[in-house]
Amino acid sequence: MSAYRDKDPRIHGIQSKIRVVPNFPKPAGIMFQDITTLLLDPKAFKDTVDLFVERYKGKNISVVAGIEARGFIFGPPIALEIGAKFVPLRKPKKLPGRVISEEYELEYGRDCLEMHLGAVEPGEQALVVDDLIATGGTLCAAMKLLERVGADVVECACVIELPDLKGRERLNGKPLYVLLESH
Amino acid sequence: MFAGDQNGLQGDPRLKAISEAIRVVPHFPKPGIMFQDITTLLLDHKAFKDTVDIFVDRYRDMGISVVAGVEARGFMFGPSIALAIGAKFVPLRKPRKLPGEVISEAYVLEYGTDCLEMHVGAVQPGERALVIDDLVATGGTLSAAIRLLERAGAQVVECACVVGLREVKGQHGLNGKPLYILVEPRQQINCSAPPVNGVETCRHDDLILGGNFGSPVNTTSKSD
Repeated sequence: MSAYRDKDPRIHGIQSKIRVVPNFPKPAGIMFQDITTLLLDPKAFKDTVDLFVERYKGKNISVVAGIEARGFIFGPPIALEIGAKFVPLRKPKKLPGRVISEEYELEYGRDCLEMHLGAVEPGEQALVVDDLIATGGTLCAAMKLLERVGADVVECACVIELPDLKGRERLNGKPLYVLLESH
Repeated sequence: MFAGDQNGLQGDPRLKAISEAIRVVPHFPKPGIMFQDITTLLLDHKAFKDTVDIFVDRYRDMGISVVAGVEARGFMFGPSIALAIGAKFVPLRKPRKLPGEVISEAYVLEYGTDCLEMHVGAVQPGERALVIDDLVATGGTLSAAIRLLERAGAQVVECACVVGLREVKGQHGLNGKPLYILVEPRQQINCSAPPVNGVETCRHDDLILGGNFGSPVNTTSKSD
């Protein structure tokens, strides 16, 4: 795994805490990037959140949208530190109120992401957070949800990028900020 | 125990604001359930921050090294608490989500069973742990969470929830572990009023502490 932000001394510590699990969720040579081991190291987890907070504090971001479920781990601490609201983007039928839905493609079939109506107002500046970007399909759906209610997505933020899957190109020109790359 | 019963937090205006920031959604996920929706609390930065701060103030000096959060709404509160008290965060997940070797604990639902999993090696014997979720209903999920941590040799100090009833109903009783709750679930205030188009209405001033209005309506349901 190569470091992307190798100028910051905290990156190496974060990188070393991420566990690679082969053949998950299915045997096919997939190397799953497991961030749960990062969460077991309080300093490395704090450094991860701090790197995002340092980038986004004072930038007038009022919404942090996190993608179910690992986006729920990183998004709220960032939102709380930068003074933004946290908006969970969820799989279908989890959110109890009225929602808007955005479909996206999986390797086989389709899935759907939902957001509560009224959670985000037109003109709000939003950040989308997830643990990892692979093909970019989920992040793209997340951005569309926010844009449909009139928010401006400032950036997508992930701990890890898999650049070989070219997810960055699916973000319709929106910037992507990651701490680490994995090839 | 309830946060508002304790010295220092009695009449704390933060608790009232937290309660009022939680939206009640009738008949979700099924008729008769008054769902306590914490997503509106997350939209209120001050109330969300106050929620985390109240938990942090309680747990920071208890020697807790593990905060275990129940998927998925426990993930929204647990990590911030863990970061503030210098503890690790351990996600407790539905089956087949965690990629490494896991231990599993089954628990009973109204119809059927479900299962909670934790990574082997996440928790060491002797560690002091906190379990966090948004809401406690019957206590089935929290009981499974406690069992997972104890099987790994940890000591569960307390379970913490934003919303819960004064008495945890149902058979589970949390294995004798203490439960700390910030606010009670809100119910509709006037059960004798006829429903509108079959839907009960909820008002924001209806914070009721316990009481039975003679209605078969269940006040809480643990889904997800």
